Order: sequence, then structure tokens, then C-alpha cells
Amino acid sequence: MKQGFRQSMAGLHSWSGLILGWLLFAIALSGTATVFRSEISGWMRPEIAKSAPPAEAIEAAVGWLGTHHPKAAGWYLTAPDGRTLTTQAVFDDAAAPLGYRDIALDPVSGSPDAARATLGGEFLYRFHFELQLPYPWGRFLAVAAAMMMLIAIISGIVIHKRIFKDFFTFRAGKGKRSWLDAHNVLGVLALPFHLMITVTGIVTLLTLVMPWGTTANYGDDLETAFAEAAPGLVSREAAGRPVPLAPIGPMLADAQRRFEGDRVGRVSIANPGDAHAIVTASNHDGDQLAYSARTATFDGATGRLLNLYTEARPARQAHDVLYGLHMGRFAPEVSRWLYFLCGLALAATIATGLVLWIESRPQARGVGPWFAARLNVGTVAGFPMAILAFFYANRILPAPMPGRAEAEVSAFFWTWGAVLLFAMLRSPARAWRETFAVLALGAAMLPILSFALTGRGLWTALLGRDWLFAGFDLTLFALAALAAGIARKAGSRPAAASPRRRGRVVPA
Amino acid sequence: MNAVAVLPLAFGGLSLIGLSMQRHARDVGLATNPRWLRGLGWVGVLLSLTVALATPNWRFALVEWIGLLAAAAALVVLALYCRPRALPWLAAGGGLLGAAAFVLLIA
Repeated sequence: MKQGFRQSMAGLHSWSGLILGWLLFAIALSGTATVFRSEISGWMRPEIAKSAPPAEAIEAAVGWLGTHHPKAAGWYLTAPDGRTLTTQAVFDDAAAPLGYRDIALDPVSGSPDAARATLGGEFLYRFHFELQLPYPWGRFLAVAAAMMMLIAIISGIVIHKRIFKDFFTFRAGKGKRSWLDAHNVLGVLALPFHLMITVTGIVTLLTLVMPWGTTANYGDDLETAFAEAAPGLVSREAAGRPVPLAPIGPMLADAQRRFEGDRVGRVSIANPGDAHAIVTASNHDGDQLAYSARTATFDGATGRLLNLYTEARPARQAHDVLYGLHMGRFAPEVSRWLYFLCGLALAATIATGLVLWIESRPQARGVGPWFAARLNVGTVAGFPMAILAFFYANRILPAPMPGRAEAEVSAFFWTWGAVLLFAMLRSPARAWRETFAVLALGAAMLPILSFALTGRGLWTALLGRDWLFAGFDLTLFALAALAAGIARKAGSRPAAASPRRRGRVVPA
Repeated sequence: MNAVAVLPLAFGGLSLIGLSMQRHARDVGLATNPRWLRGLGWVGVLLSLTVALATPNWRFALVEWIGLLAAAAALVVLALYCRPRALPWLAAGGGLLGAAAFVLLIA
């Protein structure tokens, strides 16, 4: 009976891992990169070198938006902080391809024209849970993948029964054995992180896939549901009478004072320029674990305080803490790097699991295993290559080019597609070696190209204590070394999987 | 910034736990696995937790400690892979380094 249970878990683990494994790898890696979303955005806008205090930056942003996008239903602004130099603005715009714009504004002038047009780290962040698919399908797929991941983790703990006995074991050069060791070690060492990030990831999208709690309590009255979920927010219809927005600086200073030492992080302005304008300031999401904790709401026309709210309901706090744990915005430097490393470990656990699926079936024939082996290369090498292409496009495409931000995203997907196609045409063993060699070369060359095109290189960054550029270049060099190591290992594989490979190559 | 004390302490503790396990004791070249090391190892891990939490914001510190524990475990795997016989010395070094760093941080 016990044997039967473990066997069924083994089947569950290998199939749940395989079916959405490629997607999970892309989600895990884009999420890992998103840990440094602010830094990636900063690197992708090399023109911006100095910031302004949050309140001044918001004032500048509101000034520019008031002139250029006064008709928007709302402006959602994130103030610059120690990590981000620019103000991030999201607002509806019927002329935009997606119906909304997500742009970075210069902290001093408030204009987006100071820097090249790019989505920056926002692209990887959005891809992580929307997968570049229309709402809500991308989110549905992402949460389905997360649930599959949770199943894979739990069934994995059951079937790899020796992981706790061989806790610290890694044996190299033993073919399938080594892959299994790597899979187990990467999985078990960061197991608390893997479980946390998977469960909290599901929590972030929970109301989308499990709306029944809301439906049972509120029926179709979603307005009440929203209002009770976030009592700090004040919402009202536009009056239709134009009234200029009161100066925003004093409102932010007032909010700052009422937040008892917390910084102002996000500022949203609903119905700007209308008599019923509302300004909501939230405290910075990096000041506590919980993702949203405090809001101060002002009447936009008069600047009068309408509502001050501090979240104190335990259920909501628990949700916000889980959400905040997933976002990791609170994480100070050491924690941020640990998030990054654990994320890499998760991506590597998924990748080694995908390789194991092939290695465990040396006799498998047919379209399925053939395709799976090639999809492995196309995704595990292709996705990081696509991120690299996104960065290269950022440096190479001319700044005044129309549709520039979208072209960077196209470079990402075309590159991924090209690597997938390449993987289909090549034997997997060769493709592993070649793609990772190119990956290593590409990552190592990027800092040099970036220096040539922007004048901001590793040497000048270190001398000028520019930790953003120095850190970015050093990380790229480290990842290049990692990719080179994988290319070398993939080149000298032991005989474990070779009979099948030879059997394929010789008759051809 | 007390990660400089937490990481070596966690490494020392996890190394001792490793040495108390049959397979890893054999990797290191011990004839038997000294079981009493396990208790000592857990003391090291708990010590690292105590040091980690000795900051104004224990919530952030707890998250960081879990990450550091994973990093320390990865270092034990690396040590067992590259220099298995040095592990007892590395464990002792980790404990001493962690204790010294903690004393310096307090002072």
C-alpha cells in the first residue's frame, strides 16, 4: 500500500513537473530577475543619473501629466526612492496599444523624454505573472503553473525519500545520479523559500481563481466588496466640472507627517482636474513586510484630508504580509541577494528536473520525448538568452526610434523563438553546449558594449561608487562564468545517455 | 549587517549536523558518525537564529535568517564536494568566526 502511494506520487511528480515545467522555468527566472526590477530599470535608462526627493518628483510628474494627459481617469505614481531614480507612472490612454501607459518620468522635469523609451524591469515583472497574454488568461496560466509547482514540491518531498538522509550530498561526474543529486540539493536546501514563494505566489492571484468567497458574501455587488476590502480608499464619480488640482506638495508633506516616519511610496490621483479629484498617498511598500499598510486620502480640489487609514484587521494583515513576502520589496541588500540566489536555485531545480525526465527515459522513442528534449534546451537556454537580447536591444536601438519600448520586447520574443527553432534542428547534447557558450559570451560582452555606447563602464562605475552599474556588470560576469561552466559540463557528459544518441546519429 | 555573524554560525552548526550523519561522516573519513554532534549542531543553528533576531526589526531578520540558512547549507555541500576532509576544521572556523563577528558587532 505504501509502495503504491509512493509510486503514484512519483508519477504525479514527473508529470506535473513536465507539463508546465517549461513555463515554470520562465516564470521562476523572470521572477528572479524581478528581484532587481528597480536596478534593471535604472540600468536601462543610463541617461538618468540623479534623482530628486519623492515629494518634488511627484510634483514634477503631476505637472507633466496635467499638461500632457489631463483626460486620464487616474494617474498611478510610484515615487523615486533609494533604489529607483525615476517616478513610475501608470495611466489609461486610449491611444496606447494596450490601452494604458507604464512610463518612467524624470524626477526633476517630470517628462519621459529625458531617457530612452523602455519598459525596463517592468517588462520582466509583468511577464512573470501575465506571460504577455491578454487579461485574464496570462494570470490564469501563471496561477495554474504555481499550483502545479506546489503539487510538484509536495510530491517531490514524498518520492525523494533520501533527501533528508543525504542532505548535503552532491556527487559529480556520475551521469543521471549527478543530475538527481543536483535536483535534490537545489530543491531541498532552499525548500522553505520554494514553498514560501509558490504559496505566496498563489495568494497574489487568489481572488482571480477563487472568487467564491467574495461571490458568496457580496453576490454581484463588487463595489461594496472592493470598498470593504480597502476601507482606506475613497472613490467617487467625476463631477464633470473642471477644477484645477490643489498643490500636491503640502498634501504629501501632511501624509508624510501622519505616517509617523514611514516614507511616502505610491501616490494615485483619481479624476485629475475634476471637482471630485482624489489624491491617495500610500506609505512605501519597503517599510514593512505587509505590502500595503497606510493610506492618506485627500480631496484633490481643496487638499483637505478625507481619510487616514492604517490596516489593523488580522485577516487582511496576514494577506498583505504573504503578498509582501512574495514581492520582496521590503528586502534590504542581503535579503535581496538571498531572494535572487534562492530564485536561481528554484529555476535550476526546475531545469534539472526537466533534464532528469529525459535522462530517466533513455529508451523512450517517439515524438513526445524528442520534442521534450529539445524544448528543454530551447527554454532553459532560450529564456535567459531572450533576457540578454532585451538588454542588448536596450543599448543598440537608437533613442529617437518610434515604438522603441515595444521593439525591445520584440527582440526578447524573437530571440526566444530563434533559440527554440535552433534547438529543434540540433541534437540536444550539441545544442546545450552551443547555446550556453553563446549565452556566456553574450553576458560577458554586454558590459563592454554598454561601456562603448553609454560611457558608463565597470571601471568608471567602481571609481565613481556607482553601485548600480558596477553591480550589474559584475553580476553579468558572474552569470557568464556560470553559463560557461554549464557549457563545459554539457560538453563532457558521461556515457549515461549516449547509447540513444548514438543510435540516432549513426543511421542518419 | 549581522549576516557576517549569522552565516558562519549557521555554517558551523549545519556542518556539525552533517558530520553526525552516517553518509557525510564517511565522506569526511570518520569511522563512525558521532551522534552527539547533532545536538551541538542544533545549538549552533539556534545560536545563529538568536544572533539574527537581535536587531530592531525581527520580522525582516527572520526572513533573512531563513535565506542565510539556505546559503550556509549550500556552503556545506560545496565543502563536502571540494574538500570533505577539511569540514571539521571549517566547522570550527565558522563557529569561531561567527562568535568573533558577533562580539565585534555588540562592542
